[in-house]
Amino acid sequence: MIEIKNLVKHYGDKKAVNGISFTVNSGEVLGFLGPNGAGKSTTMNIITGYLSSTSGSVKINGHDILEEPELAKKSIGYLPELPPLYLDMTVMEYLNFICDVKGIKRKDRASHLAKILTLVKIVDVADRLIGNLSKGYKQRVGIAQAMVGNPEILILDEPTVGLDPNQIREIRKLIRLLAKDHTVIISSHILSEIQAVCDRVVIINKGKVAAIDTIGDLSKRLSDSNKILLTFKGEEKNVIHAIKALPGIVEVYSRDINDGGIHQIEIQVNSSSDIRANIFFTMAKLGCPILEMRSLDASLEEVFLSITSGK
Amino acid sequence: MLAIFKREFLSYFKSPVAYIAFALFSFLSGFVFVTNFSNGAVNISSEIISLRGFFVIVVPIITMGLFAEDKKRGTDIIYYTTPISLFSVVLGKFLAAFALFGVLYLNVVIHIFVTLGFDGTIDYGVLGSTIVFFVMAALFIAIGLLASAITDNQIVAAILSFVMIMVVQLLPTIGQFVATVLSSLLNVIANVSASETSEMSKNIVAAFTWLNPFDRTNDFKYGVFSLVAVIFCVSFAAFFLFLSYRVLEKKRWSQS
Amino acid sequence: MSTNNNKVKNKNSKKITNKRASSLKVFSITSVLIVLAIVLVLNILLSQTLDTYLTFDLSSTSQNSVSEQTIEYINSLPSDTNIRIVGLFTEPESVTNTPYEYIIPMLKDLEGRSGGRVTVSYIDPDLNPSIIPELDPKGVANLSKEVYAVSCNGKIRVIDPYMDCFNYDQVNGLNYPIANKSEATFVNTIVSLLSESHYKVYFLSGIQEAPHTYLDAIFASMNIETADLPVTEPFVVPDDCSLLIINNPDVDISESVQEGLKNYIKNGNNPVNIICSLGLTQNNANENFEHLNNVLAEVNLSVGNNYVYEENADYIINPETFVFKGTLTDEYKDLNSAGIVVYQTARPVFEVSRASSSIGSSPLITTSSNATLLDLTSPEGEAVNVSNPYTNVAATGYYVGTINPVNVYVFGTCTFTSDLYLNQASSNDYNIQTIRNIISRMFTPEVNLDIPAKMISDYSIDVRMVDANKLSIVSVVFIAVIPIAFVIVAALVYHKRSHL
Repeated sequence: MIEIKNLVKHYGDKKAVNGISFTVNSGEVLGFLGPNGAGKSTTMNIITGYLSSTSGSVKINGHDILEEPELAKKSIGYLPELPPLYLDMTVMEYLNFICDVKGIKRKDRASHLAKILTLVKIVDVADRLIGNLSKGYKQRVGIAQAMVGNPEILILDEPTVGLDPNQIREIRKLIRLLAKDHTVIISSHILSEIQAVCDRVVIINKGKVAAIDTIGDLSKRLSDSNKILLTFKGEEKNVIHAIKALPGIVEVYSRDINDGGIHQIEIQVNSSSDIRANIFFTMAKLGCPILEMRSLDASLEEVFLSITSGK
Repeated sequence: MLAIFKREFLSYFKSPVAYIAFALFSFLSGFVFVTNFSNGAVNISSEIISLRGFFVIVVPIITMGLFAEDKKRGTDIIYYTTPISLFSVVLGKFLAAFALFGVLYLNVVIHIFVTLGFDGTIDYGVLGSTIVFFVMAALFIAIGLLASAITDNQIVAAILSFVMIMVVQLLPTIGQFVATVLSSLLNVIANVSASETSEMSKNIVAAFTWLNPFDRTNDFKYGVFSLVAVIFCVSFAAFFLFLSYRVLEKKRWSQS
Repeated sequence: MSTNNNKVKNKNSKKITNKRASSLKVFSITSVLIVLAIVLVLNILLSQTLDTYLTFDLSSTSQNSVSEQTIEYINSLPSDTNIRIVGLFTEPESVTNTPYEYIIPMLKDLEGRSGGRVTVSYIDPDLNPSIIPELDPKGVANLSKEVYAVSCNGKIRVIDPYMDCFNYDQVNGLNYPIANKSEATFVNTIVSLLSESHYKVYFLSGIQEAPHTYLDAIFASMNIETADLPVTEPFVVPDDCSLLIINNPDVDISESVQEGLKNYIKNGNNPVNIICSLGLTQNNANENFEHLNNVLAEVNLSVGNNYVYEENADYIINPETFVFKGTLTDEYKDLNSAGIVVYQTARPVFEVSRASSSIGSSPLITTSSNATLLDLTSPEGEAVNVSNPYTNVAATGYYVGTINPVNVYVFGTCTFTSDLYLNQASSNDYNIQTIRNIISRMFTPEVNLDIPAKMISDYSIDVRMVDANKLSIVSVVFIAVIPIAFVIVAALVYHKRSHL
């Protein structure tokens, strides 16, 4: 479990991180979302002990990163933005070195590394020089390095950057697998990635926390009410009039496409109660067939954009 | 610490850097040896002690990459985010460079065997010179390590350590210079008498010479071992290592 | 109002935030300064107080102590012997990096282990002017400040710390000490004080001869007096001359000296011993020493004007400077342990046969069968071939069957008598063995302690085993082969790894 309180980091006059607080619960996958320069990497560097915060505290399982650094760092595996790879070593040599640094005993090493190599799918490049590997493989070696020692917490800074869609899918699969028995913090500026993998999201903007919530709740939060998109065939004015009459309706907007008699309207509902049945029956009474009816939760993209632009 | 030592030491042999240093050192020491040999008078202990003069070239080559490379590649983050202590990182790198000097010393061992093969004699002076060789190597490596820790550019680190070691080598000359300049200034501007300034000059020169490890360790080649000189070099090496450690640590709390 | 609050909050948080960074910075800097202070103080303390206790002298020549041979000799003297060594200067507080570091501790050791027979003291004549007349009432010794006076039984000798206690290397134009002979000097001075000497060696002087301090030291260690014999007119060799040494002159002697020497050879009343070295130097290369050769002709010898040049690789040490190896002839093979010597810029020594059965000559040092003589006066430096393929570099001439023996040793090279070679050779050098043996055979040995000088920088390799071939092999291996091998390995390793 990670507790971060009032983290501040100054660089001269510039405040890279300006009062960030959040908690990460054991076993959850937390997404760290924000535009470039928001302070994601700086925050992660502080959490892992690379940088020292100007003020504020970071506690890993109750151990303060500044006061009990060894105990705190023991539980963390970190993949920074620039993977710390020694290009003049082979993959195996490098991972053995990381084992040495993290204090993994020799006898457990072979099986441990074999497991990691298989998981991360770098078995066939195990004896190649890291400098000769492609970007995708390099990234995976970086992830492997974070996994050495089986730390409880994995912190991954932009783990899929520069990878092709296949590789991205593999990595996400891997992260989901790891999430089963690790606490994971992932930072990204790719929204779909966060959406695909994370339980909760912390949105950071200009060094401050802009929002913390589960993904579902977050999108719901933005809109005061639910929205339903209705595509139908029929007389638009009548339908709008009829629906407006239903209880719990805030507003109805025409999304008129008028494609040969097919209309689309947006119905804003003020409660989360399900009025789709009412709509069905209303439409049936009107004799207008429903071509499509679906809930419109605000997409994460809309949430993100609205949160980080001006708010 | 051993992990860092192993990695750095082995990586020396994977890059051309170490081999160039080897070639350079064996050329220089071979040259000294052959010159003596052709005169029929081979003095191994003198030769070893004279090799100190080449450190100013070899040490920067060996130490320039030790920290600068990490900073450039981003691999220094490993030292800060794993349970390893920064000081053991400094020690590990120091030992790797020091061990490399042990390998360089093999050149001298070859020279010794050749001398023995020609019925020359070896005495305690050789042991003394060897001790000086390693103790001063330690001091200079520590200085080179500091230079590497300060910057992230290898070339800058090499130049910085070259300059620093050169200064140490030239301490008596610098002292002389400072003394002369200071006493002329005082003589002319402050009208201090010549006898007083000459007294002060002598003290200044003595102070600079006191700091010079070369003078202190010259007698080792005769087989005269002065523990104080050894402690001098070792303690200052430790000081430079400590300084490197603090410089590395600065990254954490610096505000710039 | 809220903006004011914000401003105050900002200031406060700024205060808090800067505190941690600045306190860490201060801590860091202070810790560095403290460590530096500790290091400096530790070193200052140690070098002021414990330096001498923590210095261990393991030099194999133990510069600071006297040898067992000396102790035995001193303790064999009667217990009431009183040898007084006075250094005419104030004893310095620290002897490091001064020549006295080789002398003063050694004398302390001598005094301590002499059982009271030797006393050492330091009295500055500027502070105590009465010391000089006290030591030397008759004013014989010309005492002055900064020397040692050794006196016993009313006899007194002077030892100069710089001139008498060290061997210097003059070959390279530098004047630095390469051997410490202070123990030998002091002890043999004591020996000569306590005994009478019969022999006297003269060095012919005034003919631009070479320096001979090394030989002086040998004679002193054998308790034999030495003196210069200047070429005055008329020239007569003194009656007490036991050995006359002509040491590499650059100019020929005059006719009257020639006659004086011829006379000495024919009519000398002691055994006539002459050692004549006539090596080639820059200054005498064109001198053919006509008068000196006339003297040498008295014993069937003559010295030529060309350079001996070896062609046999086994005998070549450095052909550019005409340094070669020579062999001792069978008759003289026992003059050193290897039968080999080194010579440099040598003239040939010819045996001139005379029809007199009472004069004999024989070669002493010869070249290989493949040596020539070079005439360098011609612009091309041609080789002059001699009909006899063997060239002598040294030879002896002697009278056979007379009442008064005559022994003349002629060396065509300077390497047996001149400081230029002897001072930079180690004590087991073959040339030194040779000249010592020649000398010791001329005199019945008296009490003579052979205390070797302690080399300050020592050991030569065995000259026998060094020749031009081996030298070039060694050069190539160390200067070219090994470094290039490393570069090749570098390229290979790099190549191999880069393809992993």
